[in-house]
Amino acid sequence: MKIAAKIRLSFLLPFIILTILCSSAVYLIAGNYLRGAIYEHLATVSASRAKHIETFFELNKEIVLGFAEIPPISNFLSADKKGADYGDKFIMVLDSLKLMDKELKDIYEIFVLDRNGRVVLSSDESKIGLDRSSDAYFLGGLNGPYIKDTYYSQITKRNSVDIAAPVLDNRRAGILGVLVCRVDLSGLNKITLDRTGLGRTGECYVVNQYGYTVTPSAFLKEDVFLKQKVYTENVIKGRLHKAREHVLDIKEQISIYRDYHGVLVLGTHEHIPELKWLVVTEIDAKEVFEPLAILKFIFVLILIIVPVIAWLLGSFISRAIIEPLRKLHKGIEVIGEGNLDYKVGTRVNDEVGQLSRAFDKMTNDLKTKTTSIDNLNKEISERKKAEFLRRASEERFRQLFESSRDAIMILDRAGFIECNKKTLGLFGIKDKENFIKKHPAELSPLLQPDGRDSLSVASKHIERAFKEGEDFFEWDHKKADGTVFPAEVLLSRFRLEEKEYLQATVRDITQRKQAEEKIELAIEEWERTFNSITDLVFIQDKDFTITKVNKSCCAALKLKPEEIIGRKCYQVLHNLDHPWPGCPGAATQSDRTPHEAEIDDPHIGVPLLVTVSPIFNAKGEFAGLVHVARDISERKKVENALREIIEMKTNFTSTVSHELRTPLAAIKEGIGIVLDGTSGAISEDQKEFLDIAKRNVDRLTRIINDILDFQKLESGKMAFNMQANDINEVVSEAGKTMRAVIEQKGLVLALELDEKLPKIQFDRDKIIQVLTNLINNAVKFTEKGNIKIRTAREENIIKVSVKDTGVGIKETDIPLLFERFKQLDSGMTRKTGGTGLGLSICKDIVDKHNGKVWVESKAGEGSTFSFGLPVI
Amino acid sequence: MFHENRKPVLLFLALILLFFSGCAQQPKKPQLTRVNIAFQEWVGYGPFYLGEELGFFKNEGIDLAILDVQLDSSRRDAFQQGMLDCEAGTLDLLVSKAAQGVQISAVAELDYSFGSDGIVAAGKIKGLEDLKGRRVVLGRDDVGETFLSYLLNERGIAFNDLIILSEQPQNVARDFLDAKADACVTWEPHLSAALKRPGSHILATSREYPGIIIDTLNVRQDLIKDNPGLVKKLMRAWFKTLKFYQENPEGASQIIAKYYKITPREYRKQVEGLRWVGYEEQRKISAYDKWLKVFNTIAELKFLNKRITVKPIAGKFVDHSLLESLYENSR
Repeated sequence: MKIAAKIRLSFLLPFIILTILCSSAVYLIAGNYLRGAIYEHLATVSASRAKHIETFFELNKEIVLGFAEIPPISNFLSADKKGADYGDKFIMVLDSLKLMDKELKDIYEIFVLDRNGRVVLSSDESKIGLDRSSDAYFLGGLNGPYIKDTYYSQITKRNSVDIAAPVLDNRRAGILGVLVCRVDLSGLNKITLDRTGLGRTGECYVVNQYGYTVTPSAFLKEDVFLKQKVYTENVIKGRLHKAREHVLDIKEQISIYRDYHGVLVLGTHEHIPELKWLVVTEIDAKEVFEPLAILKFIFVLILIIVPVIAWLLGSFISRAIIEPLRKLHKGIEVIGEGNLDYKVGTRVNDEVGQLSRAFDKMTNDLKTKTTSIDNLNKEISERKKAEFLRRASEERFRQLFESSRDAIMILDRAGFIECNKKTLGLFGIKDKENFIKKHPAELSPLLQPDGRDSLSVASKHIERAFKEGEDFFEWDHKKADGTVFPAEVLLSRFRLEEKEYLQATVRDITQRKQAEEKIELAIEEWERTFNSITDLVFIQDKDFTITKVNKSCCAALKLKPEEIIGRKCYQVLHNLDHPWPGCPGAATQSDRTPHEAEIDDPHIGVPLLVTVSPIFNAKGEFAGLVHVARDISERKKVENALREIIEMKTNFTSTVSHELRTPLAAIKEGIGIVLDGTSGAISEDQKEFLDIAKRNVDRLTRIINDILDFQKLESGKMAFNMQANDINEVVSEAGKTMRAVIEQKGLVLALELDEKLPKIQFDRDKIIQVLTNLINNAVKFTEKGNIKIRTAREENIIKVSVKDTGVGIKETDIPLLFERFKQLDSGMTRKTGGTGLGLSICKDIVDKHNGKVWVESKAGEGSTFSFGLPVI
Repeated sequence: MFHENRKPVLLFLALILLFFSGCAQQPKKPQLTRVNIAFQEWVGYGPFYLGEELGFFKNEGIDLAILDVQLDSSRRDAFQQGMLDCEAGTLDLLVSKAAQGVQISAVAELDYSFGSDGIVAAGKIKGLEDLKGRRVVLGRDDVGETFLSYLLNERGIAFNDLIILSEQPQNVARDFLDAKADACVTWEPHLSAALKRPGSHILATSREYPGIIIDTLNVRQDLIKDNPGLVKKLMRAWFKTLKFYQENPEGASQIIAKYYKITPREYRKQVEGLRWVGYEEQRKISAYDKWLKVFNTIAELKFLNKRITVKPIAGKFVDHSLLESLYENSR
């Protein structure tokens, strides 16, 4: 256990023990005294009340006995009922009874019973004659003074007792009857309701032998009379004690218990033997023991406070002793760790204080000595460090100096002081000593390229470097063998031990100078070539700003190069403030590929063929555009002339064809009429000639129609009526139209239609024309077998194919099929007839639908002509 | 810090506990129910004192308060006011109270007189017939009167042929000794006292007429109805006490005798004049029939003697049911 704990304990324990002993002793003594006093008091109060009650009954009993001895009553009882004066006696006695009744305070009814228990006289006349022989007061009263137990009269609403006394004859030998008085018990209430000496909570009441209350109390109201059963420890005790006349030990008489309504009380009892009553006196235990409770509370408080004070006192004293010791202990630990600045710093003047001060002094002395040794050590180590650093720095500098790729020299105003190896190599000098001897002028030619004197210019540079700290310039140097070479020189000033020096760094730039010259030559050559180009050429960056322009371009634009360069191309060429929409440069700008276009901008004045190509830099990034424009005004003139000639041809053909069709219609009509026999019968020969004529007219009509269609298509005059149509329906109709022709030739027509096809946009009549044409062709070149028409969808196109089992087409002929005016095998042409325009027209029509026509065929195995129309 | 200081703290707490331990409350006693019982001075009721003293009633949860109420009319009043719970009494007094409207019932037979009640006469009176015109002292409307009128009735003698002197029961023997009467009707211990008169002799005792004077335990009807369990407990304790007496008559009589201010030997002698009725003996239904018969006989006599004005219905005031189920659901 530590000292602090010992000290605290040595304070705490005696304090607690003493306090407990004292408190307990005082509490027990005071408690006993208080209890004794209270018991005594209660017993006294109880006895006094009992005495009062007994007196009350004694008094009334005396009165009743007195009445019983009044001569007129005994005379009346002993009188002969048949006597003449009986009636007078009766009235006289009755009157006196009534008089007595009125005079007396507590007695409210008086009656007299004869020897047989019959009422013969009564202050209440209505009761005369009643048989009371079995009543307790009669049976009791025969024997002497008798108090009948209390009862509550429902008639009179009173708590009463009946007191009876025998009426004796004159010789006092025989009993004549019994006199009974009814006594009102409210006289007792004063006694029990009196609260003198009972404090705030005390009460006094009377309990009969059955355990029921017969009087009210401070807290029991009168209506509880004979109804409130009291079964408390006190009453039980009282019942058991009833045999004894005196209770000697007061403690036996006093009880602490719960009363009739459950409250803890201190109570006592006193017997009234004659009535077998118990006078109960109670006070709430809380009230009685209140002083004890306060006393207990004070002691508990003391018990709590005293240890706390003892604890604090012990803590204070132990602290005064322990704290310097703890500091000292801590000091030793801290100093042990090497911290000599720690101070115990105790101010107390006792032995511990002196010890700690001596300790502090010892620490201080130790610290002073330790510090001087430390300082010495520190100085030595710092010097060593500085020396080491200096050497390291020198070594590093020397290494840098010697290993530099530039020639480095140190000089002052007098001349060179030091140089590195590179210097010796650069100037072709054997060793350092030789170099240092040289004057700087010896390392340069007499004159510099600009013609100035090397010596004076060098001096100026040196002066400037000393003055401004640095100078950089190009300089022609001379080697030891006299070779002059260009160099860059950097002079920089530095200070060493109060003196100024220059460091000259010389770099040979011969190679660089040569490269620069080559570049200059190349540029010049490129410029010449660029300007020699007769096409109009200019270069622009990616922001349309012109960066380069050749002479031809300047001449064409009638501007000087500086009026063009730096401006936007659209400003210069088209006089616009935004890029020109027709410019192929815009396309190149977006897709980075070359584009070509013919331009005829009135602002330029001449038609141009412009080719624009992208320019990529070395990294492959888009850097700008080059425009090459060629004047095409001559070519344009020729083209225009040609277009006029074609126009004339077309107009001519069209006119001729129309003019031919009208007479042909008339001829056909005429032949038809003759052939029908309408204009008279014709011979077989005539019919045959006319048939030939009709077929040729039909053929001619077809040719003319073909030519007209072709013309329309070629000149773009053919109108297309594009509408959503069902291709299957169109194919069916074409098939229906052509079925007669096909079957006439002994062929079979088969349709194979895909029912799920969507409607698509096309010109119905034109596609029927295409189909008719293809079927016609098939019929033409097929002698036997069938013609199959099929529709199907293939991705985004609807394919219509016409397949025959005819002669087929040679592979080499297939590319010629859709050429104009081409027919294969001319012999066949003559047989079948045709212009050779049919398939060409078909192709043009399908092309106008953004579709395509093709053929698959082998000679001798039939052909399949197909066309596809886009599904939009 | 805490460790080194814990010991004194614990010590302090222990001392405080010690200081307060004296204040703790004592354990509660088992709850008892007070039952008021009253009876006359009759040796047959002695076992009530015995059971009370031996704790048989307390063991059943009953604090039996034995009250000294000699006058039947007082007991009647107490019953009517609800203050008295039960009584030990003769069946004839039950008839009187029943006739006056007291709501009580006989629930068990305690004993029957077997010589303890008797008629004592002086010198020349030899038989019951000789009592005509003589002074006979007795408790008016009491058991003695009933016994006498029963005997007279058997012999065809009118009750009014005698000169009846009413006295309080305890004073009957005294009056006879004082020669205030020629005969007296009383019971033990007064019977023995009356015989001390020189020349006196017994005319008749209940030994010759057992069954007319029987003692029953009479209980307030509302108590039977509201708390039959309590009544059964009372009855069980009674039978237990009886058993104890029969097994230890000497020890038991030593306890009882002091309540009668006689010696145990005297007590044992006196109780020879009665028979206590055990549980098994009276639980039979035949016992119930006997009670009804006696009740009706007495009612008839009292009515003839004009002691009662109405004849009460026996079935209302005699209750055999508790006996029948006495040990059901009991411990």
